[in-house]
Amino acid sequence: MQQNLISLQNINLKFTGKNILENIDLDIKKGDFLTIIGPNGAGKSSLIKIIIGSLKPNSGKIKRNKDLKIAYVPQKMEINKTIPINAKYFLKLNQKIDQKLFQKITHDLKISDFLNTSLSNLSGGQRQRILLTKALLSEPNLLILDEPAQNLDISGQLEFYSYINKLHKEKNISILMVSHDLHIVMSSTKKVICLNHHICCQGEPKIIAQNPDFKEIFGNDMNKLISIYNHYHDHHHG
Amino acid sequence: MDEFIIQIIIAAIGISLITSALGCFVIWKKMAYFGDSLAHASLLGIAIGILFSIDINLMILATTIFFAVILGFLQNRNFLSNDALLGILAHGGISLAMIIISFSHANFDLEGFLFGSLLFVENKDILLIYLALFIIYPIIFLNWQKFILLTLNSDIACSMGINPAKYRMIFTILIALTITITIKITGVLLVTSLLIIPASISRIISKSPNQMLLFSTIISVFSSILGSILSYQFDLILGPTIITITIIIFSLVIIPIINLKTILNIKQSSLIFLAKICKKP
Repeated sequence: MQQNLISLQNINLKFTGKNILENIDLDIKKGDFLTIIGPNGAGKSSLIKIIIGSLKPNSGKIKRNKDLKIAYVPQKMEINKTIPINAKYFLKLNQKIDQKLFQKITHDLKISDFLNTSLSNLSGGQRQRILLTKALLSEPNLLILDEPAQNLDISGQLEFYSYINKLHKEKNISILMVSHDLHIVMSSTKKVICLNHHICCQGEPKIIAQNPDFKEIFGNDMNKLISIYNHYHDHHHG
Repeated sequence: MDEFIIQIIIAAIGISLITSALGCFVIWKKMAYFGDSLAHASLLGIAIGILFSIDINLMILATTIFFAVILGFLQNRNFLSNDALLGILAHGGISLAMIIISFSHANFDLEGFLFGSLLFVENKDILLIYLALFIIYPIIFLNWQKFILLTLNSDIACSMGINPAKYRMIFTILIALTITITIKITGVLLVTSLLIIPASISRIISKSPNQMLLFSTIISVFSSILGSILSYQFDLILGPTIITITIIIFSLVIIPIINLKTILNIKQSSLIFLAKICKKP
């Protein structure tokens, strides 16, 4: 039995009288790779914020392992032009940096060209890579990503996800990710959690794709995806 | 130079060291109006202090912290926008203060409290200023990176174990303390200018947060020394004199930036305009 890094028990969150999260039970173990999917407004980001501690649930228990070291990559970072700050200064904020690790990550994520560029002048994709770098520099054992590939083009997305996979495999970092990229999520074999205020279903993509709740929420999207794939297929051989 | 002007200069240097550092955060967190409203509302504290003969510094500190707590509470409720809440607070504070003042028969130097007065600065105020400096500087410098990270993205900060609510409270108390010690020099109306003008000038010429802090401090200290001397020599009102100097520096820094762009635009558009006129039969 693997140890839980963090364990959520019966979490409830209300906001202005509306239930955002209902009875959420979630265990994240060492070596897990979990992807949360769900419609807009399903409470995905709120759940993430509860896990990183920036939102307090109305009820429920959160148990954190004493070895837990979380790093978080947000959906996006607001540009604040009033702060004159470049990427390098941002990366060094509030953490000691191991030079070897720094060299390796800057090389892997190809960010060395814009380390001296002001944060507000970076493109969405560049800023996202800087955010991932900052997360990795803290050497976490649980990496939490909230729609990390949102600002990337398709090839950028594929590259990003394959890098996350590599991190998971090689460094044995546990990953919790919110994703809208159904085509990527559903084509992998990683565990998926389908969230719509409560956890509708969870498991391998193959299995949850057959789940009635999943079909109700994502049926249309999945059909569209399949038709895109079919079209793509025709195009090549037809 | 007599003892009096030296006393003023020492007080002004202490205040500008504090306001220039905290001012960077006020600019970054876009809290200029927050500071302004607290300062205006603190007139209520002054009025109550005078009416009941309670120490004025203590009353200013108490009212600013009290209002900041109420503001924090209401802002979390999302009923009203921030600017409306701040407006209500500032004007409510001033109005109540004026009514209380009309009840008290004490000699009340309203202009002095609105714009600052040299005559207010006593030895005990200087002691208080440097006491505040010794509290505020270590807090800012020990938590410098945490404050910056919180300003950039509080969720990332939170994931690194920094508690945003705690630091928000610390920051609010520092602002309240700064307003308290600055009011006697600048008056209620102009407190915020010492926070925002040097830091704004510095923003234009800085490339890193550390540079911004350094330049802001240099500009602020220079302006307050020069301002104190000029105000003493020519019998000018102190706060506005210091602030006018900072505004002159601000203009000197910002004019070259505006000039290049607007002159180019004006030339271009006026040429197009002329061409159009000439074409007309």
